[in-house]
Amino acid sequence: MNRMDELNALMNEMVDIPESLDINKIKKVTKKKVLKHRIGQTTKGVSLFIIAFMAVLTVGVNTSTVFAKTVKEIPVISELAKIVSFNKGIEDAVVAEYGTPIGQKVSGKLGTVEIAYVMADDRSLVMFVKAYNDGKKTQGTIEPYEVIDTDTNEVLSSSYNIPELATDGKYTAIVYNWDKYRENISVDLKYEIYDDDNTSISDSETYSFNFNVGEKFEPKVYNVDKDYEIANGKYHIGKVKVFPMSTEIEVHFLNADEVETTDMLFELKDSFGLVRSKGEGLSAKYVNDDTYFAYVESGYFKYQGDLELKLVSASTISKDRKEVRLNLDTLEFTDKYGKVDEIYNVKKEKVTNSENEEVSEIDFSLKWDKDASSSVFWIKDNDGEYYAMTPVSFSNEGDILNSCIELNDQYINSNNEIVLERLFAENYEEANIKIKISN
Amino acid sequence: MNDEIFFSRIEKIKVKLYKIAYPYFNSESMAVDMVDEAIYQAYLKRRQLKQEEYMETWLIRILMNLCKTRYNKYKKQTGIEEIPEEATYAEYENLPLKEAISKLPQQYKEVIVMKYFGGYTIAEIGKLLDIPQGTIATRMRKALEMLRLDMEE
Repeated sequence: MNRMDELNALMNEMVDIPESLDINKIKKVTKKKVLKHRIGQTTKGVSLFIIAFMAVLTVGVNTSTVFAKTVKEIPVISELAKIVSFNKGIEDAVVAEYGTPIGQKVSGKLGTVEIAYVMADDRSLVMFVKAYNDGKKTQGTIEPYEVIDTDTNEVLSSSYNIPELATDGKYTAIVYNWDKYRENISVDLKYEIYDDDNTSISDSETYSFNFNVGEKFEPKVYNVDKDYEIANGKYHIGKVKVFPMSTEIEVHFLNADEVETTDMLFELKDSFGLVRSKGEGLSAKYVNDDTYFAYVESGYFKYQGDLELKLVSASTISKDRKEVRLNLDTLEFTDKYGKVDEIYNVKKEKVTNSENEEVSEIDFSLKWDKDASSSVFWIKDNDGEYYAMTPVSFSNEGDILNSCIELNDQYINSNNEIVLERLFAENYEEANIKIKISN
Repeated sequence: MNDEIFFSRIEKIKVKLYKIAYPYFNSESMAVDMVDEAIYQAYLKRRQLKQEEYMETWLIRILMNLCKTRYNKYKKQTGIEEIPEEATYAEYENLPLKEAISKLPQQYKEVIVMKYFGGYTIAEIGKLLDIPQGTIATRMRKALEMLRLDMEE
């Protein structure tokens, strides 16, 4: 074969284009990667969410006894209520029977997975899932790998929990937070099972479902329309909407030009002083630069008395302190006003990463007593784009956070600096702002 | 650029992207990985692209950079040695063409790949790589000579 024949043979090898280049598959892969990217960016958020979640769980357990007793006689409702008792709003929605029975079963090599019930409002889609496998018990995790609004074909990406699922017919709840209620949904649930020692994933399979989420309950709306000042931030609280599973608080930032809010915490009390819902400070949904919605668990959709909304705390950062530079010669983090005092113990280290490559990283410690909700930094790459910046490890020791940044040429500019966007707070203030909201 | 426009443009150029990535590794799965990664990176930054007509150029550049970076890593991992520019043909004449292409020094490999697998002209390659057309023509001659491919521009 001469060189020309060889060239033609090589071109022929490429005549059959792989199936994975089907445009729908490309879309899936791309969107999945985007989701991973976003999750990567909020690793810190997720870990702190778990801490917040544990705190809420305690509140939920302490206050849910009455409900647990009320529904004890109704086996399925009781069972469902029990597994979502970590969230008052969702638990109350179960008790009030807002759920829609789905009963769809899909069988595969790892057994049969069933979406038994779902509940949805503008904040969350909750799926009650169970699995069987002919008496064989396999245990793993279940994850909403892909969720599509089948009315618009929009592939949704959002935050969700990854609960454990065993093939023992017991329910587990997947809470998928979305941006608005959607009526018709297709969901790919990825079931990953553990090996015998429960130490690693031994197999996985994806189960696909299509369903209508059921009736949408319109929220109860209260107008607050008042201004407040806390931690250098100025806020206007507009409407408070009580949905079946959560309560949404509309917050306008009045001095967003000067100050960025990194966290706000709310709680709701009923007229007996019972705090049935703590705020999820992390779950803010930004609408534009100066408006956002904060969410607290609800539990008040059917409640008729007055409510008290409490603004517990806020964390902020001045806009002109947002840009931070890390000089790789001096290993100093500086902003417009000089050295960033909160960061210390900066060291350059050589480490082996997960791909077994030797890389350099900058380790540093950060005083972490003002904030509990944001990431540390975003990195701006040399094109000015905020790039998939994820500090590669976190460990909390009291109010100190140890973190590091893996060095990558893409981030280092001609002055041997990395330009970062600061995300951790400068100001933190606890407040005791009480807002009465009445029917 | 919205998702619909973005993916409709991807549909038109995906085969070309695949054919450009393939000769770097002579592997279908690695070529697909490169194409997926290039599309993903373009998708993340799609709002930066002000003129949609440059999308192809832009994506090809992203892909070429990815292929170069990944190939360099792959080369280290597998111990592949490039054909030195000063090597005599006798030293590598037994190498199958597809291996010879992937082992060409970077600047020669990219012009061959772009021309014979991407289907671009010398002028288009010059624009894509932001290199003068004369330089591309010189590199092309040298590359063809190294591969003993006797073709006319």
